[in-house]
Amino acid sequence: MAYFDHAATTPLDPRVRDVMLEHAGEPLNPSSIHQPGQRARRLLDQARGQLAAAVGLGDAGQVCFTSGATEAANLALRGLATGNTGGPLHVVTSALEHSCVRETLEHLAETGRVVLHLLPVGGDGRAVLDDDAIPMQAGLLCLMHANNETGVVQDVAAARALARRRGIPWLCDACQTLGKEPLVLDDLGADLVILSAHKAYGPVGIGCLAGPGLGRLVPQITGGAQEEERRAGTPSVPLARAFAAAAELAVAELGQRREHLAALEEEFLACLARAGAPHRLNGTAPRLPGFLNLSFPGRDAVDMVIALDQHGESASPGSACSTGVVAASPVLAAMYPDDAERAAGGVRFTFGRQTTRQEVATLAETIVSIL
Amino acid sequence: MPLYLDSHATTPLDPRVLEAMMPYLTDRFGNAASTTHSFGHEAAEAVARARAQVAAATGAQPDDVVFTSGATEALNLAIKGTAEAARGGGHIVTCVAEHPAVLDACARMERAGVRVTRLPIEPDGSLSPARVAAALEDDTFLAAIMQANNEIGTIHDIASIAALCAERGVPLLTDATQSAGKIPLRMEEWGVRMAALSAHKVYGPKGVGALIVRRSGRPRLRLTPQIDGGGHERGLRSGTLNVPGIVGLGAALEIAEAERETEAARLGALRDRLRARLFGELDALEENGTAPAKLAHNLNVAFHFVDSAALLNAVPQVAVSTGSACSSAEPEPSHVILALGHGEEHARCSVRFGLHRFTTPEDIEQAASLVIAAVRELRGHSGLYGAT
Repeated sequence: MAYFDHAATTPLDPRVRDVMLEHAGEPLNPSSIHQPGQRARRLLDQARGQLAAAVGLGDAGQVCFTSGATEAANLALRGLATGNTGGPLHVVTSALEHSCVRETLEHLAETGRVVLHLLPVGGDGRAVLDDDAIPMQAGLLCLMHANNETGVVQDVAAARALARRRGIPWLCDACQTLGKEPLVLDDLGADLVILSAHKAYGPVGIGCLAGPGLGRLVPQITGGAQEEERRAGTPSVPLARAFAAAAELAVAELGQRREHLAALEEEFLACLARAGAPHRLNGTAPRLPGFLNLSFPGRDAVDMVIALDQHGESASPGSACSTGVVAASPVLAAMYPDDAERAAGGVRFTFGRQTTRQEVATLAETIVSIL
Repeated sequence: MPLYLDSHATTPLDPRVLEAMMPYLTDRFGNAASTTHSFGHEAAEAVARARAQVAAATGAQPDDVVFTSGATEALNLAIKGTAEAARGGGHIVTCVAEHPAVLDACARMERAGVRVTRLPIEPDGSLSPARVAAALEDDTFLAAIMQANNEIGTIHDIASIAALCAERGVPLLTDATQSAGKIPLRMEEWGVRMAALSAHKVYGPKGVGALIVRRSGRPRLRLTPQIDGGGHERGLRSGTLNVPGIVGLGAALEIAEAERETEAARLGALRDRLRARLFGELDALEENGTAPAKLAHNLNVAFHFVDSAALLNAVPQVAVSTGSACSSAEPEPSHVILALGHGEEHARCSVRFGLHRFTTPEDIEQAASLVIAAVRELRGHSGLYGAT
């Protein structure tokens, strides 16, 4: 079985696992005042510092650990919407956002706490940051870093400039970016950034919300003074340390990972081209390396991935988060509003640090045989 | 590592639980929501098995289990979720001695227009079911009563409270964080509609817990999700499932249930020995939470004339606590000890002991000797103690 769904989740790096298991047997609650508690507090703060340094955040106090990206997105959006007194929060965003941002915004819009303003989306996979399309009353820009279905990197420089010009906070989901593109949060300039460990060879069950915007959030999970009263609940020292270790490795090995992923992508596309397998690349703007969303003419995405699974090749139709029901991708639908077949046909292939050239060559052969 | 006697704050991970988790920290790394390939199927099957284990341990159905990041999140979901579904207004009945996660969520809902009744507890730490029943009103949409207290270990009669609540058509939420795997919980049989628990209080990993929600039954239980985006867990809690953590929670509860009675007897004997030594060798002590129904591994003692923080400093070899861990960063006296009818002075000299699965008779003898010596030493410096 070969795994080409690294955008859904990645295997835990054995080096990260070692860090995670180092203190797994110890009863570490950072809120306890006795010695094991103080030790837990030190280890947690150390992990926070390591993570902040790895992602280029000068102030480690700007990292709030959460159970993952979805909770972080909810904390950011509900936290801002709740704190916004005097009418609903006007949010500028696009159809490209991950479901944890998109669906939370939709829920907040249904209950009148948010008004949505959707940016147009180009066929290249990028949201169009048109200044004229931004309403006067805009109170938040919600634009992701790299898209989770196409891997297309959004125009974050323009997002930063726009947010500054308008004097509004910018929430940036960078879950897919860590370990695939350089990520220096102080340079990125977003007020709030969402990160997740398990997309970068860290463990599931931990992520964070980071940035200078934390101070203005109304906390959502309450009933304890943890995380500077921003998020109640006993923090997991093993998970936090593992997250930090994964982030450090992602940054230290960024160059070699990018090279490896780019080589795999080239090999895969060359194989498809050699076999004359017809396909269309969804999202032509600069992408994360080793991240491809392809439509095969006349083929539905779900049929394709099921056929691939029967051959032991694991890929995905869009995002993994639409549980149970595989719905048409809203991302591709926004990119190709006039081409329903293309939008319904997008299969996501995402390679990883342990994917081999042989595996991607076999994957290409399998696709050719299915076609 | 000092003698760890603070199992109400957190417990060490049982090696057997870690062993159950290991495959999911290595080869079986799939995302349980990846429905189109075998890595995802494998993860989803593991989650289904854990769901059944959690249901078996709590007397509920597998479909009732909603995995969360822990008990605090679960309690937030239960209280804020029902309050939001009640659309502002209505009434909650809870108790002054609940965990801060419950009290804080209730206080926030109160600011949003919900009326909150906070029942007192008796001087022995018990809560009469009749008192709960008497507090229910026509628009009470939730009663939130813990199964066992996290500071003094007293156990509330959840079966009777649930029955009385059911008579009035009020859903009962019980915080089972301290009691899960330690005393029986039969949600369906007793008519408990929601229960919250956490893996790390029962020798499982941190970062995972569950809210068990029996949505069927009367009246219908309405719950508004607090974390959206993906529609996981029947839409009640979105976010990629923490598969290794969930497997750990299932295994931890299964082990605890299997060993429940023998372990309670063993820890009860050790706890009684600790109590006997402290009370036999020291004077001016008072036990907090003397109700007969009490967790076997809990002992909470007021060492009069000794500031508990000073005692903790004097015996760094013994890890005990001055109150709940979630609030011990704050210098406030314990709200639970105050609720027993004691003053701040009494609260400030109270210490919580929490025994656990790996506590040995030698640990207890050693801890007792160290604490007794430290109390004598500190009292030697206390003018007040000598004056009595």
